Amino acid sequence: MPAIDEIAPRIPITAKLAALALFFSVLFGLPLGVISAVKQNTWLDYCLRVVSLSGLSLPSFWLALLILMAFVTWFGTIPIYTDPPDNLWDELLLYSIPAAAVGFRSSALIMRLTRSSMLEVMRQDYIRTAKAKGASDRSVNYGHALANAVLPVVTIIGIEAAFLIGGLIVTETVFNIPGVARFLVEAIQWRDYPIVQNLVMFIGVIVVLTNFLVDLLYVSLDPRIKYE
Amino acid sequence: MAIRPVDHAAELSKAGAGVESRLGKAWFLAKSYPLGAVGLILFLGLVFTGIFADVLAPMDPVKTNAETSLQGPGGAHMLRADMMGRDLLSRIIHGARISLAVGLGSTILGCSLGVIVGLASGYLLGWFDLITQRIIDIMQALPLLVMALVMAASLGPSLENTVIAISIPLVPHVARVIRSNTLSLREMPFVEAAKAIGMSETRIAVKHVLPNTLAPLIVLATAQLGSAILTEASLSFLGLGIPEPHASWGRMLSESAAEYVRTAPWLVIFPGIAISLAVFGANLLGDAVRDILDPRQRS
Repeated sequence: MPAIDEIAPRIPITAKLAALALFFSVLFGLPLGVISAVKQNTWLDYCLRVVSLSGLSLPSFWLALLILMAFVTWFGTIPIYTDPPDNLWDELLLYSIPAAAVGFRSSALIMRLTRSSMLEVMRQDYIRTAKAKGASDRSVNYGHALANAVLPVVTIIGIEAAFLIGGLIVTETVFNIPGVARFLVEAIQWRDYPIVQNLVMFIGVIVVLTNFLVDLLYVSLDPRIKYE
Repeated sequence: MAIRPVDHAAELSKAGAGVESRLGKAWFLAKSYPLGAVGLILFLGLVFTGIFADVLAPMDPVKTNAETSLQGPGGAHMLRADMMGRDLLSRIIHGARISLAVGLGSTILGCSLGVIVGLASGYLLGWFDLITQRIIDIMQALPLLVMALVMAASLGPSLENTVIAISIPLVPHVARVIRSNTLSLREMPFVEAAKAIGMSETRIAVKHVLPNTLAPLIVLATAQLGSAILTEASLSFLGLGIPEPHASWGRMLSESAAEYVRTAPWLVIFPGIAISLAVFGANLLGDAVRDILDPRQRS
């Protein structure tokens, strides 16, 4: 049996999970990072920074275990992933639980980067010019600063793809999700080397492709960049 | 509009002028980087617990006792017992030693290898540089945990192998940074001067270029420390890191995970807190070190 027949059916599951996790991490990471930068050195900034650092420090498998524990205590059951519901909404809800566990860590990273990138941009001359012209705080922060600060963050979202797969490996194992990442762990434990080789290659290709896509995305985000 | 007069004395003391004693300087740094000071305290706590684990642990971490299996609070065990009746507190204290050994060991090993590769690559250039850079490209396409997993699986579970498995994925990151630093340093006038007085290439690389890459190296190493500890926990959690009966925090979580979440939640909670605190401390420390040594990134 070719390895691809074993791997292919598991790809959509991990893809859904990764997409949701990335969505969550940008949804929370980007705005919180902007708030943290705009309110630099206030108590709000300090709180957000501690939250984001603790997000980077919490092992995602522990977070997943804690979520499972909460499910056991409150609902007396844990989410089952072996046969997902047909209903799209139910499926989204089901997958958003592990996605939140993985995404928390990524959102912490995005938040930190957005903050430092925003702070750097806000020291630039054109920001002072915009302020001097009498532009409102909101227009300066979002129209001028964020538009420029978001570029390095997009790079990181590309690198994040690699980061996410690391988180998915443990999270899929904890939640018992039959995806690609857990399959890698199983294949390693079974000493099933053809599968391990194929999966590692597959993960490598995905990471390289994501970075390539991010490079392409640059052109539409930054008018200064043009690929000949 | 009135110009606010500058209080020179206050500004000077805020900038740390006139502080001579070592303790005074340390206090000034701690005041300027309060989060970093917290990180240092947490990290020193980890080091202290790791070194004096034998003295601190109230019981033998590997001694099983069927009578106290899964014993709750209030028994003979200060912080309860796991399913084999081993003392949880003692296991957590001994886990600090494993975390510290793997964290420091893999960071030091990975950074040393990375420095050698990066320095050679940036200084020799030519075909050597071309080949190593392509190998590094390939290595960087794989996420840290995936590579560590595959390495750990092929080496087999043991303490030394876990250190090696975590250190190898660190090499490309360190090598890249050191190489780019070396590239700019080799054009500096002091390197030219060293060449002019007839110093050998190796001697220039080691005596002049290497010390100048130390600051970014320290920044990188402290930043990697937290992720090394976290990777060890993940590897052990997946059963590919530190083998039984060693007390590894990640391992303690995996053996307790499925079965005892309901009956003995403390088996999940306490080792997780230990991992989080250790990594949190290392991350805070890494941030402060970066701010101090790399002013361009100072926020």
